[in-house]
Formats: sequence, C-alpha cells, structure tokens
Amino acid sequence: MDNNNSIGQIERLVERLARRVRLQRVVNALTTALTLQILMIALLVALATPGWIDVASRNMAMLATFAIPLITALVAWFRKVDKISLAQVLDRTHDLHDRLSTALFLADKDRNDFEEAQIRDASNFIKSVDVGLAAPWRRPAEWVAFLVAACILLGVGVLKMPDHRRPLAADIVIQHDKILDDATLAMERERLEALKQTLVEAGLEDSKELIEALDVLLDRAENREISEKEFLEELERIEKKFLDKDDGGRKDLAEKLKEAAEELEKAMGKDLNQVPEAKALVDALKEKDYQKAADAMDALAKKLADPNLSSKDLERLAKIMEKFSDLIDPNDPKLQKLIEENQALADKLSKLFAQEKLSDSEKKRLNDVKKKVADLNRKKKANEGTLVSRQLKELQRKTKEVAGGARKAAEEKKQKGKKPEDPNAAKKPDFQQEAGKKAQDAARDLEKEGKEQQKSEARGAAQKQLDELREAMQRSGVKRGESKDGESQDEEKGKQMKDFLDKAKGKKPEEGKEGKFAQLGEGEESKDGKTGTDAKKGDERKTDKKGKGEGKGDSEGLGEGSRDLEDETKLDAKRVDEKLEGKKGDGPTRSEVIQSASEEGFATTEYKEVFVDYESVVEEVMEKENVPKGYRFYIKRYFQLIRPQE
Amino acid sequence: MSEDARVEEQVAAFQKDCNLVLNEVGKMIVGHRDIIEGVIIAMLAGGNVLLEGVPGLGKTMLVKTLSDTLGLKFSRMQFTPDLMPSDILGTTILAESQDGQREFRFERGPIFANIVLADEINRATPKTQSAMLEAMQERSVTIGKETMKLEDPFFVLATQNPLEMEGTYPLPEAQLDRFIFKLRVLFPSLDELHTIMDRTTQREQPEVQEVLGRPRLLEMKAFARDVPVARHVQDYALRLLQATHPEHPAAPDITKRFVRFGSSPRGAQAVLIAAKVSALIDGRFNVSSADIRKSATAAFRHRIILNFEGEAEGVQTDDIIQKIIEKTPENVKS
Repeated sequence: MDNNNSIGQIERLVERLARRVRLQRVVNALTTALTLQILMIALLVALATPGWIDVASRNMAMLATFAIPLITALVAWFRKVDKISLAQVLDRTHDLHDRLSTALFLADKDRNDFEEAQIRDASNFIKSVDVGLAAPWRRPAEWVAFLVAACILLGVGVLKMPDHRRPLAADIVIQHDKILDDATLAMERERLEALKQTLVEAGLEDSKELIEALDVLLDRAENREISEKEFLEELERIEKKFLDKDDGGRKDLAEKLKEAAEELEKAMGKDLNQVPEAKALVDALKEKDYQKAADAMDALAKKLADPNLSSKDLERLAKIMEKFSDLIDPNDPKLQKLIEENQALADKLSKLFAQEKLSDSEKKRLNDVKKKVADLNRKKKANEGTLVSRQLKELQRKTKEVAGGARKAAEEKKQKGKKPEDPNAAKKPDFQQEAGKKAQDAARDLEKEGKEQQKSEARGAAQKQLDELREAMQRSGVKRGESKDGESQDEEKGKQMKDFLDKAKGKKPEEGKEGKFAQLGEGEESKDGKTGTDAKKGDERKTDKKGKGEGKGDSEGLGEGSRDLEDETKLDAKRVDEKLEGKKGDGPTRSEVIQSASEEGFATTEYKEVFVDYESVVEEVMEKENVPKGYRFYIKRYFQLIRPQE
Repeated sequence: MSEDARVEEQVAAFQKDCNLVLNEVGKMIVGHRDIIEGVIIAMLAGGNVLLEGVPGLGKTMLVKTLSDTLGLKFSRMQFTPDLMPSDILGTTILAESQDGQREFRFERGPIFANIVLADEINRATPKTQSAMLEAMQERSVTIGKETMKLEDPFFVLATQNPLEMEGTYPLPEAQLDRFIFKLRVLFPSLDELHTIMDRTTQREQPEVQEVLGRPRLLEMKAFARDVPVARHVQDYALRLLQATHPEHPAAPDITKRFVRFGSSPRGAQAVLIAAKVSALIDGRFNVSSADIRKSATAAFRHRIILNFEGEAEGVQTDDIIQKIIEKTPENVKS
C-alpha cells in the first residue's frame, strides 16, 4: 500500500473527527448563546410589557440578540483544531499507542525505512477506528440553563409585569395643625377684599401682588399646608417685600402742617372767616386731609386769579399766606430751642473758663455741653435733609411767593385806583395771575402729597391687617395648646355661634348651653389675666356710676350667668363718692338704644341694622379709647362671629 | 525481501529475541518480570541499572542468569569499605616472562567484562565508587597514561541495600545520574515464593541456555535507536521532565513542595531511549506516550532529589512521579 494513500486515509479520518468536534462545539456554544439570548429576550419582554421601553426598541433589540448565537456558532465552527491532537484522541480511544498521530507527524517529513514502516503499521489500524468513539455525542453542559431560560421567557410572556404607567401613589401631603380657625379665615378674607379695594384706590404699586401673596398664604393656612412658624415667616417676608418702605416722615409733615394751621387759625381767625377758601384750607390741614387741602388751595388760586378781587381782599389774603408761610417752620423748633439754650450755656461757661473761674466739674460740664451742642447741630443738619424738611421748605417758599404776589397785586390795584390808566399796563407783569399760578402749584404739591398720604395710609392698613393676622394666628396657637382637638373646638364654636344667633333672634337657648357659654366666656377672660372676679368688679363699679337701675348685674349677655357678685372693691385711700349725672340730649343715648334693643328684643328691628349700630359704636370707642391690643382682637372676633349671614 | 519489509522483520525479530531472553531468564528468576524487562531495556538502551532491594531477592542471580543467557562475560564485585579502585580497574604488576625477562604487565580488573555486577555499591568508599564513573559513562578505563576501551556491550548492574545504611556511602548525584534506571526489587508474592522453593530445593536445578550472542545484542542495541518518536510524544516526555523541577510553572504542587532538584536532561534521554526499546519489545514501530510513562518512573526516581520536607515526610519519589504523570496532559493543543 502506498504510504501517501495511508496518510491520506489517516488525514480524512482526522478530518471527520474534526467536523464532529466542530459540530459538538457549535452545539455547545449555541446552547450557551441561546440561553443568553433567551434571557435577554425575556428581559426585553419584561421591560416592554410595562412600557419601560417602547415596542420598536424592543423589536430592534430582539433582532440584535440573534447575532449572539450566529456569531458564537461561527466562532465555534471556525476555531482552529489541531490535527495531531485529534489523531492522539483517536489513538487514545482505540489504544493505538500513538500510531496514527506519529504517522501524521511523519507525513510531512523525509522518512527513513523505519518511518515508512511506522506509517504502514499505522494504516493497518485505520479500518478499526470509529470516529464516533473518539468524539461521542455529548449533551451540552448548559442544557439545564437553556431550559431554565426558556421557562423564564415563558413565565415573562404569561405573567403580567407590574406596569409603571399606572397612576403613581399620591404625593405625601404634610398636613400641619390648623393655625387659623374657619371664622378667623373668613374674617381675614373679607378684610382682604376690603384691603384690596383700598390699595387699588390708593394706587399702591405691588398692591395686586401683595393681595395675591396674602390670599395664597390664607389658602395654604386653610389647607394646612403651612406650619405656624412658616406662616409667621411668610408674613414677615410679605411685610418686608411690600410694606417695609419708608414714608419719609409724612406723618411728621402732616403734623407740622396741622400745627401751623392751628396757629394760623389762632392768629388770624377773623381774617380767615372772611376768606372761606383759606378757612377751608386751614380746616383741611387741621384734619390732615391733603386732598381737601389741595381743593381749598385750588379754590384759593382761582380766587387770587379773579380780576374782580379787591385790593383789600388781596391784602388780606397776602397777610394770611405770609403768616402761614412764617408758621411753616421746616426746622424742629424744639430742637432749635434746645440748641440755642445749650449754646447760651456753653457761651456762658466759655466766658467763665476764659476768666479761669471754672471748677473741674464745671469744666467737664462745659465739655459735655459743647458736645451736646455739636450733636444737636448734627441732628439739625440731618433733619434739614429729610423729606419733611424739604417739603415744608418748598411749601413755605410757594406760600411766600403767593403772599408776595398777592401783596404786589394789592399794591398795584391801590395804585390803579389813584393813577390814570397806564398805557404800558399790558407789558407789566400781572402779579395777581402770578400769585394764582403759584397757589395752583402749591395746590398740585398738596394734591401730590395727598396721593402719597393715601398710599401711606393704604400701606398702613395693609400693615395693620398683617399685624392682626399675626396676632390672630398666635391667639389660635394659644388655643391649640389648650385643646389639641381643634375640630371639636371648631364644633364648639359653631354651637356657640348658633346659640348666640338663636338668642339674637329672641329664642331661648337650650338648657345647659347657656352655662357652658358663660363658662367659656370666663375661661377666655382668665386667659388674658383678667379673672372673672375682676370682670365683675368692673361691671359693679360701672353700675354704681351709671345708676338708673343698671345695678342688677345679672342681665343677659354680660357673661356672668347666675353667679353672685363679690363684695365692693375696698380702696385704701380716703375718697368721696360722687354720683355723676350725664346731660340728657334730645334723643336717646347710645346706651339707651342698646338697652332698649335688648329689652324689647329684635322682633321689630332688623338684625343687620342692630349689628351695624353695635359695630359702629364699638369701632368708634376703639378709635377713641386706648383699648389694649389683645382686647381689640377679641372685640373684633366677637363681631365677626355675630356678623349677620348674607 | 524489500528494505521496508526488512524493518518489519527486524522489529518482529527484536520482539522475539527479547521474549526469548525474558523467558530464559524467567526460568531461573521467579516473578520480577518487570525487573527483568527493565534490565533488558536498560541493557539494550546502552545504560546501567541500579537495583535496590533487600539481600536475598535474587539480584545477583538475575544478573548472572542474564549474562549466561546472552553469552556475555560476567564479573561480580562485592563492594566493601576497603575495596580499592585498583581492585576494580586492575593494576600493573612486575611479571616474569617465559624467556625469564621481567616486565611490568597490566593485570585487568573485574571491570573488564560485558556485564559487571557491583554488589552493594554503597558500601565502598566514594573513591572506589568514583572509579566506576569513567567506565560507566565513557566505556573506557584510564590507568596511568593508558586508556583502554571496554568491550561493547558494557553494562553495569549495581545493587544497594536500602535498609542497612550504617557504614555505607550513599552514591553521589553525579554517579546516580549515570544509571539509566533505578529498579526496585520487591519481595516476591506467596505464589512466587512457592515456585522459588520448588525450584531451588529439588535435586535438579534449572539451567539456562545462551539465546542471544553478543553480535545480535549489539545489532539490537543499534536497531532500537532507529525507532521514530513523534514531536508530540517527545514533547510529552520533556514536559514530564520539566514537571520534576519545582521552579517550573508546570510543576504540580507536590513537586513544588517536596523536590529540591528535578531530573537532569539525561533523565529525558533515558526515558526516550528506554521508550524506544519498550516500543520494539511491544512490536511497535513508534514510541507512544504510554512507553514514555512506562519508563519515566524508573528513569526519574533516582534523579529527583527531595528537599528536607520531602525527606522528613518520607515522601517517595515514585509518588511524585506518579503525580506528575497524572497532572501532565499528553497534548496541550486542543
């Protein structure tokens, strides 16, 4: 047998084995790759079902996964296989003692006799070789993993994945304690509406934003989105942003003008009565009403411009305006006086110092006085630069010009009466018209100032509301501290309100409720440090002074219930009791009206009217009297609670 | 008969002659088939053998029988501490010739034989042991200025007793390396002992015949060298050799732990040449990995030097070699 033929046979044998080995490799690699692919597809399905990825992306990715087994199979098939190693495998499995592998090794070299004999020897065993025995078909190692992956894919396909597109759980809402009760909120909202109108009318910048900010704040308080601390901080922020603006001492300006007007009235009351426009101006300034003052000044200007105005009237007007101008002192007279006094003292002491008659303590005093004079002068200078000082100076200048114009016009008129008509009269300046114009200028200034004043007042009103809101919140906080159950407290208040309204309608309150109401009244009072006893004492004293059968003290509505009054208050000092008697006017007094209303019931009078009557009286009292802030709050709350329902 | 056919016949004849020798020796030596085969392989490979075993196991008998079977000149030396190199190599003596003249004549020692049995070689002093070195490696003896070639085949078969270590001189590594194989003669089994008793206690003693002549032996020895070895088989033998070296990355843990020095390249040479003979004895035309494995133990066991830990633990080099064979794959390519 030709040895080359033998070698060819051996090579073919090895090639067969190589194919088998490659195939086995491909199967093994494919199993692994398919396992991976199935897992990836399962993942993609799991992601696509609830919508984490869209269907198009899923399909693209799924298609891409098919590259994994394809590439793996190709790599497995084409990976190099060593022929000698395969021949060794054949030798080992058939117990051929490396005959085939040696023959294959010798195939490519020049062979001697012995080597040729070796190949012949090897060829004798070719027929006995079974390739299948050398590379038996084996189950891929990853077949279990493959089955598991297939099951996972099936599971993912069958089971419904959690869908993230379902509505998510609602955000956690932090609900704070109620910091303002419903009644306070309603009251504040109502007041806010009023404030809005005031601010708009005043033409205050940022008024809309301010109202909106307050509205939002109240909404948040109502929805319990804000804590007490946050509420106060927000209030402070609003206050700083919208209201913390310097009005330039407009109050001082109004006060100084008022003082000047009063002085003017004192000094020239008679003259003023003869010039109603000037009188109106003085009155307006006394009332600190710039708008009225501007109107009066306007009227005065018209009057001044009137050519029919007599020289006497002009002179009177000039006098009034001159006086008024003199009375307007841009400098602080008290400060001026203080400076002068100190300066005089300093001069006196300096003189003595020059004569060396001063003791050490007096020398020290001299230094102190000098320092004080210097301080006061500095203060004076600072005052001169203020808005008030500038405004006053301006007004002083203008009134002086008005007065000057009027005086010149008066003189001119006098001259006119004595001399014949001057042909150059048209060329001469018309002092009367000039004075009128100056007066008009002054009127414009006053009008402008009036607007500013209105704004300032509006700001003040807003500030007041903020203060009250803050106080209302703090008060509510006190109550929350007393009773944690805010809702039951609201319920209680609702019942109280109902009882009160029933009472107001003349119905008798349900049994037991009155006592409760009375008790609550006491409690509230005691919170402010005023005991029930103190309250009774006050009532008693009042009864003593009033007389007229008001000493019963247990009348409905005083909040005393059926309790006994305590002993009279004992005073340490000696005193004489006097019975004061008021003068009776034409109509019934307010207290009589109220008394009669309570005695007669509300059958014939509309509750709304009664309420308005009560409220106006109380507001008047609160304006005039020095009612403590805390009490003001309760009074307002009370009226808020009994406000007639629309 | 073609040239190729002649090779096949030669292989068959080789196998047949080896079997003849084996069978003939087997008449005298009971059991120890592997030892006899090992000795024949070593002889045909042109190497020397160190036989290790307790006294009375038939070591000397084996060598004597072998020399009788092969028709070779045999000499036996009993090594003792007072044995001198000249006792082995021979000495120059003053001798009177027939014509009455006196002359110096070299009297050859027992080394001048085909098969030399160095009995209990470790009992001689290192000086005497080293006298064997040149003869074993160079196949020649130098006395004075004269170097004399030893007759081919020259085969040294040394024995040593592993038990009686007192008063012995362990063979140096260089000398150990000269032995192609170190064979361990184990105690015979009960059946073998019965056979020994039967054969040695009867009236007629078995006699061995000369089955091979010296020329045939030399022919066989030369023929064995022609057996082809494929590169991957040779690679396997060399990887086994590398694995005996503790510093080599392919060395198994047991080597790294217990071995101080691995085998020299002579070990691999011994393995390959012995594997060739082994393949021929098996009637094959090529060396197989199995042949390599078969000769590896006998070729490496005296070439691996244990470290202190190995000595202390009583580790046998045979175990290490077995582990190396287990851990070394036949082929490294997939």
